[in-house]
Amino acid sequence: MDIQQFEEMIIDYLDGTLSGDDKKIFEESLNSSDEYREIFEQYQSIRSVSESDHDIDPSPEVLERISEQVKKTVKHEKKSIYERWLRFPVLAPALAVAIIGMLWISTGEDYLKNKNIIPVAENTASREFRSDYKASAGKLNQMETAVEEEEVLDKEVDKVVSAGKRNANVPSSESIPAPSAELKKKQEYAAKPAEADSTINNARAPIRQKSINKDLPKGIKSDDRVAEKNDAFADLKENSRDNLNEDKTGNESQLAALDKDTLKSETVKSSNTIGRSMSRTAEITSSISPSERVEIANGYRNELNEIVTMQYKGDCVESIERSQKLLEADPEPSISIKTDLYLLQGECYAKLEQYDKALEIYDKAKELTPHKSHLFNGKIKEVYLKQQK
Amino acid sequence: MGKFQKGDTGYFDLLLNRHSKGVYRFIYRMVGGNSSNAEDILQEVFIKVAENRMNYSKDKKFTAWLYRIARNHTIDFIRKERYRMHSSLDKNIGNEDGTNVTYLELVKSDDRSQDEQFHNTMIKEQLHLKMNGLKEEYKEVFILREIEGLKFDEIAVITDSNINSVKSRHRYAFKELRELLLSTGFFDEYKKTGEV
Repeated sequence: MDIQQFEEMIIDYLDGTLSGDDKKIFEESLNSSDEYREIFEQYQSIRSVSESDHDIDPSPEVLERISEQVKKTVKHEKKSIYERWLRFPVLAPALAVAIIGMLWISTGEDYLKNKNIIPVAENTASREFRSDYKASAGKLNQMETAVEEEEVLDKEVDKVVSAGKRNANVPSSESIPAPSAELKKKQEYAAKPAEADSTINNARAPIRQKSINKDLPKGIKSDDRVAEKNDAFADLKENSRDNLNEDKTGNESQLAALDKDTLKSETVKSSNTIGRSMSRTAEITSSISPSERVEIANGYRNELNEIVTMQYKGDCVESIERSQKLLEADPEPSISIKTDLYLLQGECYAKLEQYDKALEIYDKAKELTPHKSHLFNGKIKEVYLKQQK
Repeated sequence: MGKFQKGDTGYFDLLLNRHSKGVYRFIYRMVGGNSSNAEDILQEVFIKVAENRMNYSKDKKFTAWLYRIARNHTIDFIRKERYRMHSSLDKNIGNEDGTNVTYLELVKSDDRSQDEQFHNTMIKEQLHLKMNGLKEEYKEVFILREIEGLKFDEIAVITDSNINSVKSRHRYAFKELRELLLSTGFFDEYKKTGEV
């Protein structure tokens, strides 16, 4: 093997990538010549000095500046996206309508209305019952108002009649001054109570007719006599109450029937069709609401960022303490945050030359995230190299 | 990277923390040890990463993607500024105790009482000086492989070439570097490392 061939094989030999035969030939040449050995050692020394050339770091100020600059860039990008939307005024409302539509479909009408899941069948029955009840109650109120008006009217009639009767009992016309035309008319009526009654009734008839016609159902005619009307109203009132009670009982029995079997199947059906609504409800009813979860996650992320910044500034002890607190937080942080925290802790321990601690942390992190073991293997290698130095 | 793509800038800080040192070392060595230029390029690289984050797809390796951006920016910088990577022998090199000594003073100094760290700094400085004399295409492969420890296939992606070319450039880099270092006394100094 000449020098050129030997030199070409040195790197492969140092990397351990020479095949069995080549390795044997190379080692024979290496041991047979001092010149070859010297060249080999020179290659080794170049590699050794190069590998140890890791003591150059960028200043923390530069890293902070880069971080701030990038945050500004990302923020500016987000702003430009909104501006682009604003430049096309048709697109923004179209998107809003599409989102609302999707929300409506995905969450379900009932969910939006009631905020909890009520079976469809029960909802329908309740709605019908409520509308029936409202109609009946309205009718009853109208009737009660009509009866009250009639009672007031009757009292006024009684007053006029008794006044007529009192005038009829006057003993002599001599002791009293000459009556006026009006009083004379009244006296005439008083002398003939039956006639007075009929005159008054005739005068009230259109008013009564109007009032009764307004409230009475079709088929019930008005009577001239107040007592008869009152009876009719009383009957009507009673009938309405009975009807209302019957309706109510019917609705309740229908509802009770639904409660037993149908309600269950309807509930299952509706919960299947609006599965997403059910899951949303489950989220709402769980101990932590989604918004709270987002808040907690954001809090953890902010804390992680602060720990990273702290490490930049070289405050490793504080960084380890705070990352440990975050690792032990309840509810526990996500795996990705934990991975980052372990990485930070490991780097800090390595910086503090507590290599055993750093290795322990990396081993723990590897168990937690086996799919990222290559990352921690690299870190473990770094720690071993530092330890050897 | 996925979460940063969605706009979570907290994850960018993590990326920056993980990769900034390696990328910085690569840029620093490529521009001949000028920290001010290296920091400017580093900033440009990470801003470029942020701006182009949506172009990154998960089937690519992030490290290779990042170093490719860094490499392109560095080469652009070198070409644009007509950068001449020849360190002056009068260049100040830092000492651990805060004092500054020139390389000439170090070379002239035969004081064996220098501590080991100081001795190592001198050897490294010799290597860097000669590394700057390498062709760019050899130098970048050498830095990525020997200093940053990347695999040949990753370097092939970064430098937009095939793996055999990368291996070949790597061998040439070693060969030339050895020849350049022979005249400096680097290897003799290296042998003394254990004795200091």
